[in-house]
Amino acid sequence: MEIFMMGKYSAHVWSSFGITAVVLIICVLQARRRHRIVLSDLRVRIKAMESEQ
Amino acid sequence: MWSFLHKLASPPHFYGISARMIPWFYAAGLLAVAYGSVAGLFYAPADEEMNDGFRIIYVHVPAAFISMSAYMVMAIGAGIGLIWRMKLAHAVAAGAAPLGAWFTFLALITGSIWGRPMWGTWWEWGDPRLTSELLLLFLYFGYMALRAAIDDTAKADKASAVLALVGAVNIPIIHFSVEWWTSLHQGSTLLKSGGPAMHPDMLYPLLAMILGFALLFAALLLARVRTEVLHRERRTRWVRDLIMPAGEAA
Amino acid sequence: MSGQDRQLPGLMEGFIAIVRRDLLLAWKRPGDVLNPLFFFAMVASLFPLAAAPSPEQLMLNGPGVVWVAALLATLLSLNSLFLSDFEDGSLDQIILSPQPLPLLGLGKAAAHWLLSGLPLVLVSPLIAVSYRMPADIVGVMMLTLALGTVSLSLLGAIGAALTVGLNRGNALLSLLIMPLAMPVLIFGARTVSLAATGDPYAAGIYFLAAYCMLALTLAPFATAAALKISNE
Repeated sequence: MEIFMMGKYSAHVWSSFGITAVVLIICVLQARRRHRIVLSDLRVRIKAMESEQ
Repeated sequence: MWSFLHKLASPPHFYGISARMIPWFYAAGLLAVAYGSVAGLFYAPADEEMNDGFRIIYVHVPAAFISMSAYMVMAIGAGIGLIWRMKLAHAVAAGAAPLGAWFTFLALITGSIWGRPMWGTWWEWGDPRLTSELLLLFLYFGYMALRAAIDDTAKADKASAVLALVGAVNIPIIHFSVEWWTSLHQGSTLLKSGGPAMHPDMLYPLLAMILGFALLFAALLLARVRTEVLHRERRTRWVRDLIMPAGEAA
Repeated sequence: MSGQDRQLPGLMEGFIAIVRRDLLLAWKRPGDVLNPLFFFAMVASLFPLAAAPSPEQLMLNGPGVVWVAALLATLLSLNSLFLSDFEDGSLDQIILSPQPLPLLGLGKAAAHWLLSGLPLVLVSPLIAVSYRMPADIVGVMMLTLALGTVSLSLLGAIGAALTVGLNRGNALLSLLIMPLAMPVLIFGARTVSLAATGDPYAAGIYFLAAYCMLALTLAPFATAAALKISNE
């Protein structure tokens, strides 16, 4: 476990890496969520259009 | 070459190709980041002055690099979209802005965490790079706010493109003015990242991290542009066929 | 040269016509000119009242406060730059006119500076005196304000053109322009501070003049492009 200790800067280093990981994950999730929303939106819209015809 | 680019720029083609490219970018990016993190955190020798605290640069410098590259991508996309009326370029600009804002935010947070032991304070106005990053974040906010305020997509594309280009002209001036200001500011401690001769064991993980962040950014950008394209082409035939294959028709 | 070409008014005439028109309109509605001025004076007097600084602090922070107040007052007056033209349809006429649009955009910015920047420069000595600035510093401050407000008018015209006709254009305009205006603010305020402490300050004046020239040459084209896009 010793290599995980970064001297007195341990908290700073690990929190930086942690925040980076969190932000990257948020970016990925955000991109996926938007894609899903657009897809389901399109499905509803196109179904409505087809049934009208 | 040109016919390839021309083909890539057609929305259905881009939609198909990007789907196949995104996993590779993610995989390569994660690989580079994994190597950079392990080597940077555990194998790179500790800095003489900063001790282990210097390891923050392995996330701070790549984030700052991407935050500025993203603005360049955005401005170039805006310029191409404005001059050649290429819709895909506008979609790229629209996708790059929120990502750039996130990476700018990341650079600010990690820079602030770095600054805490260095300067004894979370925020130091005397550091030109952090202050420039803050202004960059404001530029991204302005761009996104303008885009969000205009309902018509084509109009939003063009108006925000003008803003992106005006911002691109201003960024070097903003950076220069902040530097001038801080050079007069007493007691400023510049962020020292590496110095002239960086030990190879320190440098290679950093380069790997920068490459990894760039690949991840590319993957995220492609994913966002893909969504943009789908939304913008919502009234076209190919999107209809994509969503509702022939057999499923009502 | 055919006979028809000669009947068109010259470039200078088009520029002067638009400046004169805006000045006349402002003459009929003096509130539009006076309100930003009052705003400027009030913001500048908020600081001594809220922070209760000692005379030394007042002298040290005065330039920064005057500059922030000037930036805010300029932003306040920028909102109406194209708004009335947009509402009564004269913006269509301006865009359709045979005169080059960048030149007319430059005319609008020039009128805006004459109506907001110049009065602000003229009023600023009053505030400087209440901040106990020495007389020779007041001259430096007026020079930086004069150069800076020209840049702000030109830069602001781009923002006003981009946001004209939008519902929430008011706050949006400030959000767009403030980060872009930061170099002007930094150099303007720091130059006056340097002069106040007796340091060499010429570099700041040169920068402000250079920025002003850059804005004069580039900003009208961006304004013209933005006007065309907003008025589609």
